[in-house]
Amino acid sequence: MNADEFEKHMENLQKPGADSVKPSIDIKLAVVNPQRSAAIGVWFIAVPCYFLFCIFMKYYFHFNIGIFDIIVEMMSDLDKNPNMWFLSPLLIVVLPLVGVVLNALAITHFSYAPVSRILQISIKLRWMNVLVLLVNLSLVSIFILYAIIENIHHSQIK
Amino acid sequence: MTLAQERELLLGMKSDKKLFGVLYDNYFNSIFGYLYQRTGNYSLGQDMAAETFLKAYFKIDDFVWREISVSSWLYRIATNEANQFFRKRKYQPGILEKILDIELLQLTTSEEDRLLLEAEMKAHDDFVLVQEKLKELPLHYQEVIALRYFENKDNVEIGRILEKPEGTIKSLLSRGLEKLRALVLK
Repeated sequence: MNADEFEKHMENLQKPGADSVKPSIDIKLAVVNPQRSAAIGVWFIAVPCYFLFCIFMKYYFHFNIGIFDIIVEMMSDLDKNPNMWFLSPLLIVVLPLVGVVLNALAITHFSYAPVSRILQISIKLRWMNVLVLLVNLSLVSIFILYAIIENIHHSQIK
Repeated sequence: MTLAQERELLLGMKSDKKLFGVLYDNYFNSIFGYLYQRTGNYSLGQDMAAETFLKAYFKIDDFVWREISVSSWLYRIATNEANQFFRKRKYQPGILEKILDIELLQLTTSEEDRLLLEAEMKAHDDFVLVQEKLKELPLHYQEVIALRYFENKDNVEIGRILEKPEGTIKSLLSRGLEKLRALVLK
């Protein structure tokens, strides 16, 4: 192909048309504010993390310092109090679970194309949210697993 | 859109910035098409087109009317966006990222449109080959060839977009085409 032929080839080049389709750029508000979710998530894990830390220090490393006993005793008192029984599961399971949901909503976006029936789920990698989500999830898993094992253990003793 | 209509629209925009939407509706497809054909990437094309219009929106007050269509100005911004990507092989839409971070917004794109456009791109083998080889040329050749043969702009308009004399455009086209031919035939 000489220079003139190539120029003609370029003139007649068939191009993919973008006119037939109007690309839609919608700007949508994230369901939940990511920074706020991360901050709330951190607050929600403060008590369970401290509780878990105290348990480990007291029972596994045998550090018997008063400050560790306060929280352990407080949780055990809450459990025994018939009017406050809901507080300890709320603090150690429900709030971290809310933290998981909040942070998951903050980084996940859904869009649905009805014609092709495609549900697109996209996750924006905001590392702070991912980290808070994972810590919350780990805490919930640890406490639920502990509750299950304890129940099995108790039923076997009975 | 005629030049007179564009002039009226720009005058109206001084008091009502919402009229920018008319420009967006009129030129989005051409600008997106140009960026998509230059990059061959749907998402990148959309980000660049969005950034082009955001920049234009924020700078529209500085636009000086010189009996030249506003589309030339939009093409110039779009060309700079594409060049930024080809220079760094990485694209960072400044204004768009700022908005996404500060306002906590997320751009959503139509999956159907993307699939359709990507299928259409795949069906044009000759175009894809030229597009790929074009990317290997220096930027000053890339922009003139893309505007001339992808967008069918004449030399005068390309000169307006790139703010270069017509003679320079002619010689850039001729040299660029020769280099492109060598790459395509290799």
